[in-house]
Amino acid sequence: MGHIESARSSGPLYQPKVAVVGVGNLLRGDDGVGVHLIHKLAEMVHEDWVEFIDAGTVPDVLTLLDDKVGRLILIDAANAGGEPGTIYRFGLEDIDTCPGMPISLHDISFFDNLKLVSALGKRFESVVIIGIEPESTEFGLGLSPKISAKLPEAASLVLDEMREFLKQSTEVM
Amino acid sequence: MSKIIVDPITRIEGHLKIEVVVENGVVKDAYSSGMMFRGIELILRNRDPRDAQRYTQRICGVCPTSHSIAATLNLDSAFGLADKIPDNGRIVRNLILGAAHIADHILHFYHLAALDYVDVTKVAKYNGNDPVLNSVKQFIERGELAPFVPRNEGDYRLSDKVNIEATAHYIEALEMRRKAQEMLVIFGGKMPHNMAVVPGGVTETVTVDKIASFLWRLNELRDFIDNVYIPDVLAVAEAYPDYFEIGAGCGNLLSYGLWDLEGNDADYTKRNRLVKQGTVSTDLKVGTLDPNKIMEYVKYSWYTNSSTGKHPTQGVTEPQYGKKEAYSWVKAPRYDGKVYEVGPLAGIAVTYARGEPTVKKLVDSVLSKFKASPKALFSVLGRHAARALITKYVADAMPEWLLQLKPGEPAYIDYQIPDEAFGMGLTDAARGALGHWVEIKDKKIANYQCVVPSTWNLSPRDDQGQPGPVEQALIGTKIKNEKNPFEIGRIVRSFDPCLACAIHVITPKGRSIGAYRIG
Repeated sequence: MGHIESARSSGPLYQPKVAVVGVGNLLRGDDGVGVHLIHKLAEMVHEDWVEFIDAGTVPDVLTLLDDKVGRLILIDAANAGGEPGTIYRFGLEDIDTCPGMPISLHDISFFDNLKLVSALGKRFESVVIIGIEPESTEFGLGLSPKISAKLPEAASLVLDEMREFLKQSTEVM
Repeated sequence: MSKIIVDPITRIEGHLKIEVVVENGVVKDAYSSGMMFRGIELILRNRDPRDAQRYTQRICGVCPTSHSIAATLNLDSAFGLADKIPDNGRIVRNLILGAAHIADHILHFYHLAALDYVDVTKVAKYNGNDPVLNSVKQFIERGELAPFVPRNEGDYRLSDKVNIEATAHYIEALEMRRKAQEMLVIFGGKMPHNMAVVPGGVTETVTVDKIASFLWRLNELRDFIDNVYIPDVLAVAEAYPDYFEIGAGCGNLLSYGLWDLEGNDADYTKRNRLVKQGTVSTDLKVGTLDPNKIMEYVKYSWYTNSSTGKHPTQGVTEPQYGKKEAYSWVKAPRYDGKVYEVGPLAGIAVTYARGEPTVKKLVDSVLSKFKASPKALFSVLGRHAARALITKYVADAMPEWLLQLKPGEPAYIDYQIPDEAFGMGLTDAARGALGHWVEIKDKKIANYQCVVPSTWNLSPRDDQGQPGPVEQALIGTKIKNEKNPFEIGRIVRSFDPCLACAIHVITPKGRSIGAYRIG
């Protein structure tokens, strides 16, 4: 695929197996790192077994995913206390997914969405989260230089995750 | 006297905080605080005006589509195109915005509001064979569905049967939301953050296939709205009739209107829209919409006092955190100096008071069912009912719009960006009146301002000391149980609050970060 599209707009023959979802706000500096990385990856990879989704500020895109998606890779900014630019790899079990009752639809996160779609019977074989420690989430376009310099490394880590999944699923087949 | 702070969410920076002072079981005072909605003007300054559609969509994670429409109407007006958009373009925009509103209102009712009234834990008593209900049952038993679990123990009034049915609908609503989003994608190109809505019209061409594909999804959604969504809202209303009297608010409603039924009047305040423009108060007297009457006040917001009392086009954003008496980053917009509530209730009430026959029939049938007067609309249940009725109103209007489309004919008109111009884009988002203003100099953005719905509803006190709409809706409310003041959550959620520019940073549980570090 040559450009980024959301799920289900790509025709019936398109059968992705990995969905890479970038979440973040492009208007808030490094908070948008997941979205920047998705655009970079989509330029690098043109395979029909992977789907790149720019979820932007709308994390509830999971109901739109193709049913054939087995692995989900989420890319997001992560406040984990490390130096800005530190890249992390989390599993779902590492994330605090139920901090309280929502008062606004803004409070329903990607992870809540994941729970909701699993109630619909949609389960993923694996969910991996690649987090990047932001430097600044102040208003402004573009990434800070320190975070921008980390994009190639983060991209190659995501590519490894994708390949790993492909390897596993070919072994099974 | 006790102070109750509803400050529920830690994962989103700048969320809404509601502080309520209770005395002898009654809310004596309420303060709504929110995060600053700053920066959009700085980000857009000196950019190509057409960037506004792309960037303003990113303000909001809940209604990006409404921002794309407001920004585009704004640019149409600045470019001198407001009365020149081809009908195909106008109608496709309506269909995109209609799909977004349907998806949004269904989501709000089932996944945010219904849990205030429906006890999903009753599904534990379910013994049937429905795989979905059994799946929810397992989820709740394992505690995995948190935070979508009951919050108002002690005030759940529906029967087990209705609770279980509504829980099944809660799951079905997810599927319906997906269909509405797919419908949006047919003409919007992608979801979220559609690319099709642009100044001059839309980039998507109209084909018979797209119309058919849209229509079958729409038919399913209409079936759901008529036979599930509206009956569920009515079932809640039957069990909680006291909520027709709780949370009345300021009694003034403001609607910019939405869904253009004609494109040949360049004035958005006058053109014929499905949901009508104007103001209405509890006496049901209608006022004409005059955007010049909008002013923003900052006495109780963290901005310099010199920036108070300005129209959005003259708006200045000079932060002064810690200013005495101030308690919010949200400014206080006022219309004609008075407090106005915005949202589907405003759209429905203005359209009703203007005598539009379809809305009149819909509203009257609900009111007569509860033997209530139109004044009952100004309430928690009135807001939920209006949201459901506006969903039906637009969904029922859409099939005719599809028939009006002309496949093969243009949906877009070409244009030149003027050297200098002013623009204004007005529409109602799913949460109410949304205004964008632009000033163009040297073909670039010199100034851009947005006044979003929740700025109206969640606004703090203004310079005259008048509390904002949510604050007024809370003040005077009787609290049954101070330890679990469910009235507060129900009132606030009935406004469908939305605060902009939330940061979506994830936070790991308290373990050594070394364990996660990979680069």
